[in-house]
Amino acid sequence: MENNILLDVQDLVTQFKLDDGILTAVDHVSFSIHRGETLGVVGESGCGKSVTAFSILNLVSPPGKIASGKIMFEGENLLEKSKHDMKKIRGERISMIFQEPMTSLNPVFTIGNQIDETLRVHKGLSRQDAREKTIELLKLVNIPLPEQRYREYPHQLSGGMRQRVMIAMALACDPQLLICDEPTTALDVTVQAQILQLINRLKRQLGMAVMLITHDLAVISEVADRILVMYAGRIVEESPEQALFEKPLHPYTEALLKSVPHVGKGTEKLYMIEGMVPNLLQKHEGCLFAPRCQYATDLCRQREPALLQAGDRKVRCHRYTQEWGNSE
Amino acid sequence: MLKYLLNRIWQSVIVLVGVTLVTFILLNVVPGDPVLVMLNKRADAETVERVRHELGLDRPLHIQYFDFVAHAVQGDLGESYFQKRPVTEMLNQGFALTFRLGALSLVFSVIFGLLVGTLAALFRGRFLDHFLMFIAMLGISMPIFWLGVLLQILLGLNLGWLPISGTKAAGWLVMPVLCLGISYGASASRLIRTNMLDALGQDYVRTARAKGLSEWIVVGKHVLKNAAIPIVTLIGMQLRSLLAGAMVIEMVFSLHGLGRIAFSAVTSRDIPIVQGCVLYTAAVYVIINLIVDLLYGVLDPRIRIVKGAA
Repeated sequence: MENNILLDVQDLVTQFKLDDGILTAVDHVSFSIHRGETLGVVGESGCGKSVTAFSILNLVSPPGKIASGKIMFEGENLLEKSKHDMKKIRGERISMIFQEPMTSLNPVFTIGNQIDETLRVHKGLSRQDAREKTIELLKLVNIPLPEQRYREYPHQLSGGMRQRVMIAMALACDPQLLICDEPTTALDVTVQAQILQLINRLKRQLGMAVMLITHDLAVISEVADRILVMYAGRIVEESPEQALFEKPLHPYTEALLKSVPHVGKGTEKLYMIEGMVPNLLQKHEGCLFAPRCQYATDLCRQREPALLQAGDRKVRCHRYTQEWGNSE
Repeated sequence: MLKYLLNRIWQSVIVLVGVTLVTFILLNVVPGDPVLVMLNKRADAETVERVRHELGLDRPLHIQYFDFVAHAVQGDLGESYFQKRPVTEMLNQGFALTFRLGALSLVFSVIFGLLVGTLAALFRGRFLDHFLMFIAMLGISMPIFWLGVLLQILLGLNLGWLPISGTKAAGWLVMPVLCLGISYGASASRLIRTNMLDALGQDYVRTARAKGLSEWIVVGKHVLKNAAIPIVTLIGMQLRSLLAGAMVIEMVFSLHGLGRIAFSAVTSRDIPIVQGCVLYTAAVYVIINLIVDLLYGVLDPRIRIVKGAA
């Protein structure tokens, strides 16, 4: 089982030094991804999902900084790698696609040029070989007329097609891990489904692991094997996909599930989580979710709960302390 | 594309005709009779009348203008009132010098601006950024003639490295180019910094980094080509003031370029030369504008498509 672990993030802390204090965007986060597995990461905007992903590639831009922790990828700590070694890992062994396919591609270079580039940098392919491989990749992600698209510019493609191009680019060097940061958020629902199916198919076909970041539970339920729920920079729940949807443990997960709108239930008022995400610049006591939690007790407001584990599930909530015992 | 080009050339012709018309009217409206200036006001009325007739200045204004245009399209801009040499010959000589000065200064200022602007953007907020932007501020704030005089004193008089004026001694072009180049490079560097910063913050830069590209390729390829679009606009606009600056520099360093010729022609009311200078300058502006617009298409595929459709 141990050998099966591809990525093991341990106690990761990523902070941003701002004018009015230090913001801890990722607060002692630990998780792992197995080979060939799809890990879903859910949470509201600003909960630290994307920063976690950027931390893995060591691409957190200033004023952000990884303060502590370990990112073990195939047994090597990525945080100890030199800049040069890190460049070799990015795009080759770990790839990433982003939320905005509209702006994530460079508008002044052709699609072909941008995919070729990855192949030539990492694989040292010649112009001709890179071109052939790129056209193959465009076919792999179901882009019609790949030879023609090769010569086109991003603005000539639709959003869905651009995201396919991004995926083709990310897959160029057969990465072991593909990080997808809100890959479908900017797309139409029908296109969303196509992209998710594509990611799912490619994952199986190429045997890579996927880390899928989203705020959309519907997206997660389609593809994830295991789910991490993040709130205010922390992991509040970790669970296999089915178990999470059947019986959410953390009050936050429960509230998230309740706030997903269902088609055909138009008469009901849409559920909304009361209150706001806490300001991470301020000092907090107790559970960060307590002010918005319907089950909150005095204990919740005084002491922060530990991440408890039982079987393949983890939860950070005082409600389970008695039942599960202290395991962090 | 061909249609677009023809359209632009046609527009340029209209601009040039307009320019000659406005200059012609202005020159005839401002006080000061060229014949009187030429004869130093001492000649009798008969001589004045004779000279006026010889120069064709006694004809109605519209005839004079059409005559000028008719000759101009054949490449004949008339003769200087005072030097009795063809205007085109005099201007071609002066233009060759001004063009050399301008082009070299442009190359210098672009290299200077790119280097300083890019470095400042990459080291944003750090000491190097503040230091370079301080230097750029100095370059912008210094009047160009003053910088010229300072360089003359320092490099010419005190150190004796370079000739102070004229075109005879070796290295005569270095100081004028340095002077113009620093001045325009300084303002270019500030804009280049802003545009590089803007491009550096774009999503596609993040993509490029996530692909594992080296910082050289990220900045030199992905950032620079995007930042180049506004930079080309600026350089196009600056070229115009570069020409004006070149005229000042020609005075400071006693170079017989277009600027100096224009200046003495204006003071002596040598109308054919003034008109010729205006026409040359206008033609240069029109050509620069055209080149800048065509460059947009080369740099930005999105513009290329729109124009192709239009």
